[in-house]
Amino acid sequence: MKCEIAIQNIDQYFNKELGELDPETTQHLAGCMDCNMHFMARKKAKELVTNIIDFEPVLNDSSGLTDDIMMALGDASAVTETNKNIKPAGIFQNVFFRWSLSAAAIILFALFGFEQYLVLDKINRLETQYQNIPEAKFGRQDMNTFNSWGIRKLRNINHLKANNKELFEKINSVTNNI
Amino acid sequence: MPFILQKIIQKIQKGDKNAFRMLVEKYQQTAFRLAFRMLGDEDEARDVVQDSFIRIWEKFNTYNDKEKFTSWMYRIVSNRAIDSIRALKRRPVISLEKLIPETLATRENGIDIVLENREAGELIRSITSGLPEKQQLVFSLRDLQGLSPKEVQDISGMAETAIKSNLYHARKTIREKLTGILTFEKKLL
Repeated sequence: MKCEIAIQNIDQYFNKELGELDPETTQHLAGCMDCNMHFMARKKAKELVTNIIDFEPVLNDSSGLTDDIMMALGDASAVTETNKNIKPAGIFQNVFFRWSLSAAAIILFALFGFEQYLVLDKINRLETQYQNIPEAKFGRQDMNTFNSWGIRKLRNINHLKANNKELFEKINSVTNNI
Repeated sequence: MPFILQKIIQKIQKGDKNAFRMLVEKYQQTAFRLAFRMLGDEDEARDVVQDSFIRIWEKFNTYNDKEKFTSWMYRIVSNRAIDSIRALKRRPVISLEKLIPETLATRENGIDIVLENREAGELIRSITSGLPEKQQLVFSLRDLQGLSPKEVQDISGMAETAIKSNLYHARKTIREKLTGILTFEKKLL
């Protein structure tokens, strides 16, 4: 028998792929030093691994470890059953619904935010234009009314229009341009 | 799940520290064995067990009582042990060439090997050093801790085929390492 085949048989035997070594291999082992050494090495390796597997590590001072663990817990609070059961109710547990709600909130915020910006910008530009109108053509009383009520809520707007036709035309042209 | 364990877990979930102490006393030895078999170091294993139980206390709300408690505990311990292995990677490992003759000499003199934590730890570290993390985890859980393939699957989260493949390679590497050294030893004699 060739050494390669003997080694292969020995490995298969230790890998539990063979139930036992065939007589031919056993005979070869008796006369071949190298194969015999391989067999012995595999046997020792198996014994060593078995020893490690069978070894039961011993925990010394187990009560000391328990005390250390309990002391280390300190104020660390466990999440109790009561806390565990607090869950969002009904439809709010649905992930898709929660994501949709978030998306809708972002879109609404963006839309209203932009609209607010447009309104504020328009008011700013209107105020700038309004400040450029000479006060002389605008009566003190009218001016006060204008200031306190704002353009849209001016009660005596018809009176103003009648007295200051030219001025209102100018205002209209300015607001239309904005 | 045993009735008593179920009761203890219910009490812990209500924040009862005395119940938790009972759980620690019952399972710390089991947790220590796994940590030691993965790390091969008594002090490190103790630290891992301590950290793991603190984590268990803090995360008890995530425990699903349909799962075996020991599987959940093993998962926490093994994750923590892997973190520790990563941190200790640069620690020197005593070579097998030095360790094996001492261990085997005892056996050849007709004395049964009674390994102690230190010796066994050094041997574990030597034979598992250089193994990839997954192989080391599977070898520790399946061969050293003696857990069933299903338990290894639950703890590691790996598929059955991946477990088989990692175990095969781990065993092969360890076997070749040991056989090589022992053949060399024999040749020297």
